Amino acid sequence: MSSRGKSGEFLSNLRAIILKAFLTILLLTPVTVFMLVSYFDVMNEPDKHRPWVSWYDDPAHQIYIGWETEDESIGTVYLGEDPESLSPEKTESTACKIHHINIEGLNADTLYFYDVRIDDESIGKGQFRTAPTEYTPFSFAMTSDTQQPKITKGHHYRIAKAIENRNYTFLSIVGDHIDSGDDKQHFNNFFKTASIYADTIPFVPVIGNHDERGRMYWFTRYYPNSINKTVIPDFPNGQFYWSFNWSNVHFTNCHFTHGYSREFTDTQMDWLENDLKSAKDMPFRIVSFHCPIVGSGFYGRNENLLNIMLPLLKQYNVSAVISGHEHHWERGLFLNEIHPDNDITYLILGGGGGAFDPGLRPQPETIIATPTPCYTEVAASSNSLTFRTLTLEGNLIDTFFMGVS
Amino acid sequence: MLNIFTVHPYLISLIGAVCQTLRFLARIWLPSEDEAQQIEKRNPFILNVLNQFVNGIGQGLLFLFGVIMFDSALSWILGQWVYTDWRYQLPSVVLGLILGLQFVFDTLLKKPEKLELIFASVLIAGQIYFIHFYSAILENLKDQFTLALVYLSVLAVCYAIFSTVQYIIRNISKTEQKKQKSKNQNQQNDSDISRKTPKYLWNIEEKYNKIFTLKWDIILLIIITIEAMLKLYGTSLFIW
Ligand SMILES: [Fe+2]
Ligand SMILES: [Fe+2]
Repeated sequence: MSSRGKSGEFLSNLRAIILKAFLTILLLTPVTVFMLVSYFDVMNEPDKHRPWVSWYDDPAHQIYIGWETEDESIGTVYLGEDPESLSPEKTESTACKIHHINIEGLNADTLYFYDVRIDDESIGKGQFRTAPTEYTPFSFAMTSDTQQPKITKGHHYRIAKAIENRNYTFLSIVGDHIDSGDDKQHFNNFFKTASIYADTIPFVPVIGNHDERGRMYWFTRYYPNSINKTVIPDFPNGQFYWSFNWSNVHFTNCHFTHGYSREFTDTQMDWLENDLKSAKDMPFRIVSFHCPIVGSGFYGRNENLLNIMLPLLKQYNVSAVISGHEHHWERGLFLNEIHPDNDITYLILGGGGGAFDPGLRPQPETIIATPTPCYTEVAASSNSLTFRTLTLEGNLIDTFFMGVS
Repeated sequence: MLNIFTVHPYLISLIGAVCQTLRFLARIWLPSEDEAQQIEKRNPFILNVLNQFVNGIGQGLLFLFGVIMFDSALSWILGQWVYTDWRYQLPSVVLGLILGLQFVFDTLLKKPEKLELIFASVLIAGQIYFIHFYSAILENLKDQFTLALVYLSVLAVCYAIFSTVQYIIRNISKTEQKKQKSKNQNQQNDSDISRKTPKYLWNIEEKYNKIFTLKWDIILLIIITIEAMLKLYGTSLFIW
């Protein structure tokens, strides 16, 4: 073959390779751009967050307001029942970045408005209602696993838009608020999304396995609800368990993130038993912990929770047990041989934001399950709880009713 | 709900998008059918056998993922899950039915011989058994997914072995035919040769290629890629 023929063949081969490379880039660009945009979106939020509200154990008379600033500063909370005339309630004593102002001596069943100011400049306004001391109807929302994988934004944002104007008394997030508890960027992203609803809906946080990474450092910095719990070698920052009453419902939030034996510490188990004992006269008892006792997804049946927790829940006649961890939504029933008129409903609320379980295998206790973006709202009247699980477009996935047993 | 494991339509759009992208990568970088025939003639027999085996693994995986996608879509239609979240699920279900069928036909069922059809049936039965029933005896689904990868790989290798053995048998018979042809250059032997060409149970290749054109594949690639991205944002093509 002549040298001209050879170079012609070389050029046509080169042209073909360039065309193939171009087509490959064309093919892979959309997905790559999607992942990169999501990654930088998730990982580049500033260390600055609008106020959020939660409480320790007496939401009828006490709440805390938290917020975060990029620089150390001293903030003042203005508070009042009339949004037009708020007065200074409390000022921080020392400058810090992650702030909490604890407000006590509040009137029960009262709508309060607040404004957080630094150097007389408002950094966020909001409202909250204190718990009633008598049985008063109320409604709250629950979800779980709002965690955002780094390569996508997930759908916590869509949950936030769906509940934004629903006037829920609070939102319970049953663990895995974020994907990596040891990475502050994930909390930045979480609070940025949550700021859509956090000005009107307080948080009821329950700890998940992703939250506790980094020895719970960041999680407990944002949520001090469970402060001063016993420090033990396995849990150098204590375990995150706490409880409160709201109207006719007692809420118990435990620290079972994997259901591992080491989580069943004497301190938590003693506290739990005393807590359930003290709530035995409440019409409803809802116990929340992250790892489900049984579930149709990845984790199946948890022997520790089945052998240790379930008998306790039956003994103290718990109304419902709420979990997350598995990334799908599920409702099922545990028969209660001790209190046959009160079988225990369990919910798994893993439709809150993370990537879904790719398939499910229903357990004998399962009634209904589906991996779909959703949240559950609960309407409490004086003698019933009505659970409704909704898609983010407002379609009803499931509803059930629970009377006082 | 039946107490069996079922792959959820959520996964269809993700598997579908990956498979469809890989199909296009193969289309871009692998030689066309005509070029492949030329290369086959140039290459030594052993290299062609090796080539057939590697191709077989790719084809096998496509076939197996096609079955998973179709099975998952069908499970949703038959009511294994709730219907009220249809706006989230339905695009995946429709894409699962179309792409699942296309992957299965593309690889093995366009013009199957009797033996191929039997092999396809055995593969499908094995896979359905694993997906829906074998998982019931496993402790948790984490174990199942590890095992599923092994199981899928074994089935894909079976597919590759099957297609390689078929390739070898066809080639041997072709060589014999050529030898015979050179011995007896008459009309009678020509008809012998035609008798030895593969006997297909059906052949819809021409019709199939008319429907499932390059344009169709590009449109499906765009749709399923968008749907997969939307799924990761907790939304879908039917939610706006
Ligand atoms: Fe999770
Ligand atoms: Fe989890």
